[in-house]
Amino acid sequence: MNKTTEKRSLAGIAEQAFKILLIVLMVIYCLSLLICFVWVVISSFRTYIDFTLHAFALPEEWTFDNYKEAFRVFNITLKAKNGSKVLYGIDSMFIYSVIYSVSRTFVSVALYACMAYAMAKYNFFGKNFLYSLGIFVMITPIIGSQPSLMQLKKDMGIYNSMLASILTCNSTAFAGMHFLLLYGAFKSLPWAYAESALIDGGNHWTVFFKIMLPMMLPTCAVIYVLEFLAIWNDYSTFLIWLPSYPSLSLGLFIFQNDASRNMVGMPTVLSAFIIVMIPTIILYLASQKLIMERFNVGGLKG
Amino acid sequence: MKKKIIATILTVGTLLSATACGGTVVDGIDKNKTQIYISIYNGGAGYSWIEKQKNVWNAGNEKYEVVLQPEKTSTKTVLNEVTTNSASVDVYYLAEAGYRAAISKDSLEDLSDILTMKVDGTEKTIGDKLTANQAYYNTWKEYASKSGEGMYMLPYSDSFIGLVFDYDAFVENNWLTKASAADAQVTAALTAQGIVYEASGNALTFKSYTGSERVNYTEGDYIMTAGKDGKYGTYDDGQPQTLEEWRTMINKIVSVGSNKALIWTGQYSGYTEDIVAAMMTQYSGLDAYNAYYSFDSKGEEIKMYDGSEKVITPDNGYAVYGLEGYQKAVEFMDTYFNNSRYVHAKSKSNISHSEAQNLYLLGYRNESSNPFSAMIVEGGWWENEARAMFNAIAERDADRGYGKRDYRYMLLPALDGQAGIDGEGNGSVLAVRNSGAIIVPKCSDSGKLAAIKDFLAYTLSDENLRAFTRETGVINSYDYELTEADREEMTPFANTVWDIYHDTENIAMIRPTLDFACSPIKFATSGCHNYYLPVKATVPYSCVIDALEAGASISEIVEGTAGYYNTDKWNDLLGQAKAAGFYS
Amino acid sequence: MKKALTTKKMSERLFIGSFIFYPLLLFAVFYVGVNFNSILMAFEFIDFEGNVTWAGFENFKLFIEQLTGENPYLKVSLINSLKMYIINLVICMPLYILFSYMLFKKCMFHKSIRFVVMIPQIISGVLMALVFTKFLDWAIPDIALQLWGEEEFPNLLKHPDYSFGTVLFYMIWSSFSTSLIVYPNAMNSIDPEIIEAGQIDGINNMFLELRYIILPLIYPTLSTFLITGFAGILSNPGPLTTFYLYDAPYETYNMGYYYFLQVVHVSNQSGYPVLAAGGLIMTILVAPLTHLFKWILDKFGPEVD
Repeated sequence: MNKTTEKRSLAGIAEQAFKILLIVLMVIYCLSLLICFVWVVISSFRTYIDFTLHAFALPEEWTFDNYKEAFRVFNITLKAKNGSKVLYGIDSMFIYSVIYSVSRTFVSVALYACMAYAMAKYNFFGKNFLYSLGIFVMITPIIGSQPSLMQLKKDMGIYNSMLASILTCNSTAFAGMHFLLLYGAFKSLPWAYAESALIDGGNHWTVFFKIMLPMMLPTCAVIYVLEFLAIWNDYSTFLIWLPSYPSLSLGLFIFQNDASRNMVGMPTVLSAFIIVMIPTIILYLASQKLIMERFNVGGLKG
Repeated sequence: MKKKIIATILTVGTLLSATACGGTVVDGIDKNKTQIYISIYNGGAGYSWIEKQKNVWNAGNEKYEVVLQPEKTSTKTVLNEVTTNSASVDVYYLAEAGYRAAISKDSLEDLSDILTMKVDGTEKTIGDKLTANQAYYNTWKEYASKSGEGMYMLPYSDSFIGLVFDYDAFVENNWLTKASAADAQVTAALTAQGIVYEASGNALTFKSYTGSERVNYTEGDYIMTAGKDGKYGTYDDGQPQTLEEWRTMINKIVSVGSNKALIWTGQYSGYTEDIVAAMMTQYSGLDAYNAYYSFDSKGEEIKMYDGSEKVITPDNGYAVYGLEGYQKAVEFMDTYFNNSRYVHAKSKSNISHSEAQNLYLLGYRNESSNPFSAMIVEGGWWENEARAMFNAIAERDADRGYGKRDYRYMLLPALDGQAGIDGEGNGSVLAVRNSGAIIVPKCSDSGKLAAIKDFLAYTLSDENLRAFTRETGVINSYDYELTEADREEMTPFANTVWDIYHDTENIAMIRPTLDFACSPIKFATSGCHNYYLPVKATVPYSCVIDALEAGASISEIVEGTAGYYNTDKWNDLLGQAKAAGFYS
Repeated sequence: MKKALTTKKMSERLFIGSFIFYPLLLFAVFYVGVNFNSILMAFEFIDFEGNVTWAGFENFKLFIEQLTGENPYLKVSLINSLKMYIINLVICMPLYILFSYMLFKKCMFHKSIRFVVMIPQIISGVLMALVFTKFLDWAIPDIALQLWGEEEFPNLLKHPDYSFGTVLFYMIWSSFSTSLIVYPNAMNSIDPEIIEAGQIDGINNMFLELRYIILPLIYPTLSTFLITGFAGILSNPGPLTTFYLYDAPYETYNMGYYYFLQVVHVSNQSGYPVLAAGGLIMTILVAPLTHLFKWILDKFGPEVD
């Protein structure tokens, strides 16, 4: 009896020790991420020479000049559709970024939600095929399709059009992690509410908009936030498909590449990074609770 | 409520995306004119030089208007655009000239007309300016024509990479060799050149000059030995000439404090490959170099690392990768570039070219995190690129700002038994990294095409060529002269670059990037190596220094590279190239 | 009655149609339409002039030849891609689950930890990689110098002995955020009564709890990640493009990067068909494997008793 208790308490101690080890590991991991962030912030207040020579020491002197400089020189010159060259300041880039990210994410999430709902809650011809196709799409590497996409967009007259780019942003709405997340979430909703609504004379649209969607809104919001974070930082779409539209991400990309020609050093570039990051930080702080509770991916069972 | 917000956002979004929001028009287009769009590679040389030229040209042209588009489009993207007729501009100014594929596919306009144009008010044509350097012209013509017919690319810039050093610091530290006052031959040569000197102990100082050519000395400067060109007051004065002298200099440099001899960008360690190519060529000679990219030694035997001698033809072309000069170059790299005593530790990290420049410039402060480096592996554009740091330093030390120090290029020392540039062991080789090109994608509007040609010709007037060099320090590969005033405006380094480039008697420029890009084995096949010098030990590397730093031995690299291709693989590549109409 | 049913059916179909029509239209035009060319390309020869001829299965043969012999890059790429997946499976996955369990159990700092792990999602990938390389270049050699007096520190991103490990480390390091949100959320959705019932049945330590309660109940989530990870195994270049752009060392190559490099930088048009054929071969291999993998996971996955 005593021996068993002893064994148990030993196992208990081992378990406790293991748990402490896990916590320590997590704390170290979090510290490493925080250091990253703090380093960027501190570096944005350094002088160029100090940054070059002592990247990981505390600053010799703190300076706000990098931010002043960033606001002064962080701009972007693009060829407008009529051929003129237009200079956009940080304010214009910000407005375009907001419009693009907000609406593109909205369209993308809406399309995911439509497909996920239809596939999770209804039986229709080809549904299983679509599901497998979605997995196929996620797996298949397709080579060199960019030129042919470019050709298609030009032929359709939608190249370099922000509206078209937003409306056609999601061509694989039944594949990918976010689809699966919504699919799983819809699947887990009981159909009983819908049943009674239908009996009470409602139609499928009212069921979706009045019953299902409101229950799904928090999940949609989580996907919205996650997609938004990615789109906010995405410069390649602007670089390739929307060359006449400025955005903060594209501006930052060019600013970083042309730093030496603009005669600005890395600390100024980092301060521009911070400026661009502010909206995403605010969004994250605002939606943090939601993400912590709702971001949940279900199974792949069709 | 939520719906309303979303609807408002969407409406505003649509409206704003339909009309341009904010922004100031900086270069509006003239609706009464037809626009000529020019994509200009926004590299080290920038584009402000052409902005001024196009403004003048636009003002004088009633029908057409040039609009510039600074970009950094890759060669591959441009190739894609022009060969699929989807170019969004009318003219490209490019950093590289590997467009033979586009020429073969007939995707470019023939610009031969421009060569017959006269834009300087004299009888000199643009063609005359291009053919002045015959050796260069022959190469260019081969790459820019369709089997000798037409001219589908025009050159526009030519920048080499080498070892940059601070002449002032070297003199201060006594790392260069001073001319000896006791040597009668020296004093006689100085007098013959028109240099008036004063003896100062065993050394000589510069007093004045009575000759007509430029000299690099001002009153009171120590006079250095003449260098390889045998002349005083030129770009290579005081530099070591033999490997022995080079070794002595390097050891002198590193014997002081924590000094290092070399620094370069670890991220783009391929910069050092230009040193390898130059050393290889200096040793094996220019004929061997030509065989390296054409796979044709014209019946001559070339010496290989294993002592054998081979005649290179396309059929055994892969054998050229066992060139003896390559072995010598790898040995040189191993001794000086793969030695922590000589090399700044950060060269072996991932510092970018800008960071390398910054550390180099800040080396004078001798901080523990950044020892002084005597030389940096860089191209002619580096001063322009490092302006931000020059300005930051100038705030504390005004005499170290942009253009204040006398930066020069250190030539590579002569190796024992080298062929040199004349086959007799003389001269130095430097490798050009960026050979820029101008191309015009097929244009169906003849009026516009004529205007394009007119504009291009205009930018190639002597005056505009001079302005280009004056502003950027970069050289355009046509024959034009700079005035004394132009040269006064340029930094000492830009002047050195100009002098080296034009000393064809003592300096040979090779263009491995261009020669490789224009080699059918590269552009007309798939599966060829990626870099202009193939490098392999047990596994492939992107450059010699990466292989050495990874611990590969000299013999592993030399043997591995010599065996880069076996007969089967080579025949596959050659077969592809032959099917495309080359090497037949 | 029958008529009523039909109307009902009709309205349902109309509803489904209205929901899936636009996404499917986009798919047809922008995915199928665009990629059809690429698939066709696998069966074509494109010569230097751009002329296209029918190649049958020749490109497939060429790709397999390259894979088995001539092209060392391709071989190391394939091996590394597999390694990346396996490491994800045996190192990352257990860590995700153990960490998530601790967070689920509301361990010390659990709120702060979950707050901080999202940083990699907020900071752009370019910036994360920049900080990481700066740290490798400046901080680590300094630390090594001070701790061990080590003056010559190898370049962890380029040295053949370390580069792949460094890439893997970075991948793992920057990958926790999603997992440490998703798994604890999945665990939170487990009915507390089940856990209480388990405790009464003698499930009284974390390992037993994980084994008999948590894992079976979050199994759908887990298998989803395993399957989608497996599916992306050959197309994910990892951080190579951000670290090296076109100059990644040989040892670090993976399939995603190999394709990126060939398409964006190296290969000319006549090389595309072989790449396209390779893409199809890999799809044909990975797709059924993924399904098999999914089937195995479904069939032999833990059951809740």
